[in-house]
Amino acid sequence: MRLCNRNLTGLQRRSLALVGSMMAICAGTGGIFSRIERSHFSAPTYYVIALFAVTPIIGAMVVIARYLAAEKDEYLRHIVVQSILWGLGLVMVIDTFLGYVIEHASPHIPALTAFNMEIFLITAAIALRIQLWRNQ
Amino acid sequence: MEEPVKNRLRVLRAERNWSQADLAQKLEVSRQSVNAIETGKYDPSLPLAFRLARLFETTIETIFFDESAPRT
Repeated sequence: MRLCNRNLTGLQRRSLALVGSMMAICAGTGGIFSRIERSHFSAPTYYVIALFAVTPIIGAMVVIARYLAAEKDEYLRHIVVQSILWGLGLVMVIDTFLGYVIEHASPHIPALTAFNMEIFLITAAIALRIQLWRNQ
Repeated sequence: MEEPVKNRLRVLRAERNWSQADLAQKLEVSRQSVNAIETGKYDPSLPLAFRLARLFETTIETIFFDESAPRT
Protein backbone atom coordinates (compact mmCIF):
# COMPACT_ATOMS: atom_id res chain seq x y z
CA MET A 1 0.00 0.00 0.00
CA ARG A 2 2.99 2.30 0.30
CA LEU A 3 3.08 5.02 -2.30
CA CYS A 4 6.76 4.68 -3.18
CA ASN A 5 8.59 3.16 -6.10
CA ARG A 6 9.46 -0.08 -4.34
CA ASN A 7 6.03 -1.13 -3.20
CA LEU A 8 3.25 0.22 -5.39
CA THR A 9 -0.13 -1.41 -5.70
CA GLY A 10 -1.31 -2.38 -9.19
CA LEU A 11 -3.71 0.55 -9.17
CA GLN A 12 -0.97 3.02 -8.22
CA ARG A 13 1.44 1.59 -10.82
CA ARG A 14 -1.18 1.76 -13.59
CA SER A 15 -2.24 5.29 -12.65
CA LEU A 16 1.37 6.55 -12.52
CA ALA A 17 2.14 4.94 -15.89
CA LEU A 18 -0.96 6.49 -17.47
CA VAL A 19 -0.29 9.95 -16.02
CA GLY A 20 3.34 9.67 -17.21
CA SER A 21 2.09 8.79 -20.70
CA MET A 22 -0.27 11.77 -20.70
CA MET A 23 2.63 14.01 -19.63
CA ALA A 24 4.79 12.64 -22.47
CA ILE A 25 1.97 13.17 -25.00
CA CYS A 26 1.48 16.71 -23.66
CA ALA A 27 5.21 17.47 -24.03
CA GLY A 28 5.18 15.98 -27.54
CA THR A 29 2.14 17.92 -28.70
CA GLY A 30 3.57 21.09 -27.10
CA GLY A 31 6.72 20.67 -29.20
CA ILE A 32 4.74 20.01 -32.39
CA PHE A 33 2.42 22.97 -31.80
CA SER A 34 5.29 25.37 -31.17
CA ARG A 35 6.74 24.35 -34.58
CA ILE A 36 3.49 24.85 -36.51
CA GLU A 37 2.71 28.09 -34.68
CA ARG A 38 4.21 30.15 -37.50
CA SER A 39 2.01 28.47 -40.11
CA HIS A 40 -1.28 30.12 -41.03
CA PHE A 41 -4.36 28.00 -40.61
CA SER A 42 -8.05 28.75 -40.72
CA ALA A 43 -9.83 29.50 -37.46
CA PRO A 44 -11.57 26.08 -37.26
CA THR A 45 -8.16 24.37 -37.66
CA TYR A 46 -6.87 26.28 -34.64
CA TYR A 47 -9.89 25.08 -32.66
CA VAL A 48 -9.05 21.49 -33.60
CA ILE A 49 -5.38 22.00 -32.63
CA ALA A 50 -6.49 23.50 -29.30
CA LEU A 51 -8.70 20.46 -28.69
CA PHE A 52 -5.75 18.15 -29.39
CA ALA A 53 -3.66 20.16 -26.91
CA VAL A 54 -6.15 19.70 -24.06
CA THR A 55 -6.81 16.00 -24.71
CA PRO A 56 -3.86 14.70 -22.60
CA ILE A 57 -4.79 17.11 -19.79
CA ILE A 58 -8.35 15.75 -19.76
CA GLY A 59 -6.87 12.25 -19.91
CA ALA A 60 -4.67 12.91 -16.88
CA MET A 61 -7.65 14.32 -14.96
CA VAL A 62 -9.68 11.19 -15.77
CA VAL A 63 -6.81 8.93 -14.63
CA ILE A 64 -6.44 10.87 -11.36
CA ALA A 65 -10.21 10.86 -10.78
CA ARG A 66 -10.38 7.11 -11.40
CA TYR A 67 -7.44 6.55 -9.04
CA LEU A 68 -9.13 8.58 -6.31
CA ALA A 69 -12.39 6.66 -6.81
CA ALA A 70 -10.63 3.29 -6.62
CA GLU A 71 -8.07 3.97 -3.85
CA LYS A 72 -9.36 2.33 -0.66
CA ASP A 73 -6.90 4.05 1.68
CA GLU A 74 -8.55 7.30 2.74
CA TYR A 75 -5.31 8.86 4.01
CA LEU A 76 -3.60 8.31 0.64
CA ARG A 77 -6.64 9.86 -1.08
CA HIS A 78 -6.35 12.80 1.31
CA ILE A 79 -2.68 13.48 0.57
CA VAL A 80 -3.12 12.94 -3.19
CA VAL A 81 -5.90 15.58 -3.20
CA GLN A 82 -3.69 17.96 -1.19
CA SER A 83 -0.83 17.42 -3.66
CA ILE A 84 -3.14 18.10 -6.62
CA LEU A 85 -4.18 21.37 -4.97
CA TRP A 86 -0.52 22.38 -4.63
CA GLY A 87 -0.01 21.61 -8.33
CA LEU A 88 -3.08 23.56 -9.43
CA GLY A 89 -2.17 26.44 -7.13
CA LEU A 90 1.33 26.81 -8.57
CA VAL A 91 0.02 26.64 -12.15
CA MET A 92 -2.51 29.40 -11.39
CA VAL A 93 0.14 31.57 -9.71
CA ILE A 94 2.61 31.22 -12.61
CA ASP A 95 -0.10 31.74 -15.27
CA THR A 96 -1.55 34.81 -13.57
CA PHE A 97 1.87 36.38 -12.97
CA LEU A 98 3.26 35.70 -16.45
CA GLY A 99 -0.05 36.58 -18.13
CA TYR A 100 0.03 40.03 -16.54
CA VAL A 101 3.75 40.57 -17.19
CA ILE A 102 3.54 39.45 -20.85
CA GLU A 103 0.50 41.63 -21.53
CA HIS A 104 1.69 44.79 -19.82
CA ALA A 105 5.45 44.79 -19.32
CA SER A 106 7.49 42.36 -21.31
CA PRO A 107 5.81 40.57 -24.23
CA HIS A 108 9.03 38.73 -25.08
CA ILE A 109 9.07 36.60 -21.94
CA PRO A 110 8.32 33.02 -23.03
CA ALA A 111 4.88 31.93 -21.89
CA LEU A 112 4.99 28.85 -19.71
CA THR A 113 1.38 27.99 -20.51
CA ALA A 114 2.63 25.24 -22.84
CA PHE A 115 4.14 23.55 -19.77
CA ASN A 116 1.11 23.85 -17.47
CA MET A 117 0.60 20.11 -17.39
CA GLU A 118 4.25 19.41 -16.60
CA ILE A 119 4.37 22.10 -13.90
CA PHE A 120 1.15 20.74 -12.38
CA LEU A 121 2.27 17.10 -12.32
CA ILE A 122 5.83 17.78 -11.13
CA THR A 123 4.59 20.06 -8.33
CA ALA A 124 1.96 17.52 -7.31
CA ALA A 125 4.57 14.74 -7.30
CA ILE A 126 6.98 16.81 -5.16
CA ALA A 127 4.18 17.75 -2.74
CA LEU A 128 3.18 14.08 -2.45
CA ARG A 129 6.77 13.03 -1.80
CA ILE A 130 7.17 15.70 0.91
CA GLN A 131 3.96 14.62 2.65
CA LEU A 132 4.99 10.97 2.59
CA TRP A 133 8.47 11.88 3.85
CA ARG A 134 7.00 13.96 6.70
CA ASN A 135 4.95 10.97 7.74
CA GLN A 136 7.57 8.22 7.65
CA MET B 1 -6.91 26.34 13.83
CA GLU B 2 -8.89 23.31 14.94
CA GLU B 3 -7.25 21.10 17.57
CA PRO B 4 -6.70 17.54 16.36
CA VAL B 5 -8.58 14.80 18.15
CA LYS B 6 -6.32 12.92 20.58
CA ASN B 7 -6.17 9.14 20.53
CA ARG B 8 -4.91 6.12 22.46
CA LEU B 9 -3.98 4.15 19.37
CA ARG B 10 -0.29 3.80 20.27
CA VAL B 11 -1.15 2.48 23.75
CA LEU B 12 -3.76 0.03 22.45
CA ARG B 13 -1.35 -1.17 19.79
CA ALA B 14 1.49 -1.59 22.30
CA GLU B 15 -0.80 -3.59 24.63
CA ARG B 16 -1.26 -6.10 21.82
CA ASN B 17 2.36 -5.99 20.71
CA TRP B 18 1.38 -4.89 17.23
CA SER B 19 3.64 -2.83 15.01
CA GLN B 20 2.22 -0.03 12.87
CA ALA B 21 2.61 -2.34 9.88
CA ASP B 22 0.62 -5.08 11.66
CA LEU B 23 -2.21 -2.70 12.45
CA ALA B 24 -2.12 -1.31 8.90
CA GLN B 25 -2.41 -4.83 7.51
CA LYS B 26 -5.36 -5.64 9.78
CA LEU B 27 -7.12 -2.41 8.77
CA GLU B 28 -6.16 -2.79 5.09
CA VAL B 29 -4.65 0.69 4.96
CA SER B 30 -1.09 1.96 4.47
CA ARG B 31 1.38 2.16 7.36
CA GLN B 32 1.53 5.91 6.70
CA SER B 33 -2.19 6.08 7.47
CA VAL B 34 -1.69 4.44 10.86
CA ASN B 35 1.25 6.74 11.62
CA ALA B 36 -0.71 9.85 10.56
CA ILE B 37 -3.66 8.88 12.76
CA GLU B 38 -1.45 7.98 15.73
CA THR B 39 0.46 11.25 15.61
CA GLY B 40 -2.75 13.27 15.23
CA LYS B 41 -1.84 14.55 11.76
CA TYR B 42 -4.96 13.00 10.30
CA ASP B 43 -8.36 12.33 11.82
CA PRO B 44 -9.90 9.16 10.36
CA SER B 45 -13.38 9.02 8.86
CA LEU B 46 -16.21 7.48 10.89
CA PRO B 47 -16.11 4.16 8.97
CA LEU B 48 -12.37 3.81 9.68
CA ALA B 49 -12.88 4.82 13.32
CA PHE B 50 -15.56 2.11 13.63
CA ARG B 51 -13.19 -0.42 12.06
CA LEU B 52 -10.53 0.54 14.61
CA ALA B 53 -13.04 0.21 17.45
CA ARG B 54 -14.14 -3.21 16.22
CA LEU B 55 -10.53 -4.35 15.86
CA PHE B 56 -9.65 -3.29 19.42
CA GLU B 57 -13.04 -4.55 20.69
CA THR B 58 -13.87 -1.23 22.27
CA THR B 59 -15.80 1.96 21.53
CA ILE B 60 -14.73 4.90 19.37
CA GLU B 61 -14.77 7.15 22.46
CA THR B 62 -12.23 4.91 24.16
CA ILE B 63 -9.81 5.33 21.27
CA PHE B 64 -10.48 8.96 20.32
CA PHE B 65 -11.15 11.84 22.66
CA ASP B 66 -11.35 15.61 22.48
CA GLU B 67 -9.44 17.27 25.32
CA SER B 68 -10.97 20.66 24.62
CA ALA B 69 -14.54 19.34 25.02
CA PRO B 70 -16.27 20.26 28.31
CA ARG B 71 -16.34 17.31 30.70
CA THR B 72 -19.79 16.19 31.84
